[in-house]
Amino acid sequence: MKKIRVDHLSRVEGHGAITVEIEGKKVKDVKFEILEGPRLFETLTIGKLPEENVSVVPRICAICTLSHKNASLRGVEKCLGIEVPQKVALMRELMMLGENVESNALHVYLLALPDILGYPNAIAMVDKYAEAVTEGLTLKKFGNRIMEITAARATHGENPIIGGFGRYPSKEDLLELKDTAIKLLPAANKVVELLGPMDFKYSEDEKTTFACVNPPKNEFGYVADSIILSDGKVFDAEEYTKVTNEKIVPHSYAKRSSYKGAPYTVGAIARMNNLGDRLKGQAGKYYKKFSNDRWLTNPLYNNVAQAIELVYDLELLPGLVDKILKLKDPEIVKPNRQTGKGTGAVEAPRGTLYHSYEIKDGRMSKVDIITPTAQNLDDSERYLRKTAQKMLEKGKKDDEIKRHMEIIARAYDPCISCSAHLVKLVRR
Amino acid sequence: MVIEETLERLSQISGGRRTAFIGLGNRERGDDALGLRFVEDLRHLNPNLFLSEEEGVESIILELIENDSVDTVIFVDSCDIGSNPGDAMIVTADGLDPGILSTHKVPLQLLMALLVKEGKSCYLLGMQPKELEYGAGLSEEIVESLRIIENAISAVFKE
Repeated sequence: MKKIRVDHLSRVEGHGAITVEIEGKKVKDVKFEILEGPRLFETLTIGKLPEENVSVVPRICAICTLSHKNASLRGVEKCLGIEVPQKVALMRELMMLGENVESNALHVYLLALPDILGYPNAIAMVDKYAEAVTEGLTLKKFGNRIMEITAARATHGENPIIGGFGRYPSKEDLLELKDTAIKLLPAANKVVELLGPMDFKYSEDEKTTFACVNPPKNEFGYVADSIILSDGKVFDAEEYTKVTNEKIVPHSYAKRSSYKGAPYTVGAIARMNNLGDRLKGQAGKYYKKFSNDRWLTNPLYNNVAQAIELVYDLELLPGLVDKILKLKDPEIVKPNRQTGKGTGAVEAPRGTLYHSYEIKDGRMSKVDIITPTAQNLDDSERYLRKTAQKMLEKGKKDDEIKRHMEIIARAYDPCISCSAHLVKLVRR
Repeated sequence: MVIEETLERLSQISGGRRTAFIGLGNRERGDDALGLRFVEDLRHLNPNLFLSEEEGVESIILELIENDSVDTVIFVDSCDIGSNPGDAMIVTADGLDPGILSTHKVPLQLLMALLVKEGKSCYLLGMQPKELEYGAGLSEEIVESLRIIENAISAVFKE
């Protein structure tokens, strides 16, 4: 038996590896292994105050920190019977845009573009694509700036709190965000025009199911109290276990998820496939122009979906700022009970993130956190296995198979630190 | 490379007021904070030329690209150069491994490549750390080496 192993997955967050086991001309097994140790976040805050929980659990990840913060706040607020005013909801929407811009810009320009343009990494791209790299860094910087203004820091900001915000940004800061979003929109348009027409050929096509949050009023967005699947089913966020159906596998600390007994995909590609028809403006035009049937069967199109989201984010931001400026700063909403259950669901850049809690007598009594990367593991393994088998049948060399395995894994934009809360995922 | 040789190389590279220094590192991890300390110690010489990663390294790079009055950029960081604690060396982007680009950090090599593409000379001043444990603080060897290098640079800036 022969083993092809990608020992360290580069250009992903955290430490992962892939093992492809080959027997004769058959791929016997493909394992996506997570090399990070279990971090036990779900037990850290048991017995602690809800205020401590919403500060501790976002430390799961420094890149999706505000998605964790928002999911955590929403879960706790449901437990405590808190409904936040419109300005708080809009501010949280704005901070989520910041995280999405920062994360998608980094992935699209610096992690995925080298694969797509045939470079070993972004450094090698600089000679010919310095402008694209600079635009990627500029967008990333802007994402960080949005988070600084809304959350008070680019990483692990503590300004969003239970029932509201510690303080609200100045008019000048908000107008700065609005102006910058307008200025940067052409750069985002350019990267969609570059990626949109690409015919991705690294991965074999296969149908899957897509899941994401289902924002009300037929809107596109990153926050909702229900989940929509590509088979048309809709679940209340409190019923998330009907979607995720977690199980343990021997080769990983991270739990795996399956829907109706099969793998499924979350992330930008899921949001586009499930909600793309709801997009307006230039983002909507791009979705209609570039989406096709292969978006339903090939994970590589996640890269294009992320680029279209950059356009969506920058188009939405100016109007969001205008709405926020019209509203007065509200008081922080206090809890009206000390015992309850609640689930916060949000779209982190990499996909649907759940924080489900129980609070008893003002103390955290149950914490369940399900991250997007953990949900994508089974589906990514399936695509890796199928692609490896096809490449083997075509007589491709080991190095080429290894390279393609990495490209497919990276297309999911995995965040391994997050997923290590449950299962250790390693790609060998 | 020992400190004397590094100083000699620095004097060849650094043209004084047209050189920007960017301190990199993690304040909490022992000698990894040396780049940040270097910038803190010298910032009074010119706050526009002594910059800290903690201000956002992408922002710094994008601003330096637009800044025609800076022609040389030197990153300062702790590096495993296979030498004694406090020893230092200066390398160009070509002298660094391609490294790994993770979601959390834009690699130094990419930032250096961008600056070079924009016509800047770019170097890494790397110093061998002794201790990288959380909360360890800077070791004596690092403090002493920083003192020597900082004195030399101060003298250039005060000329």
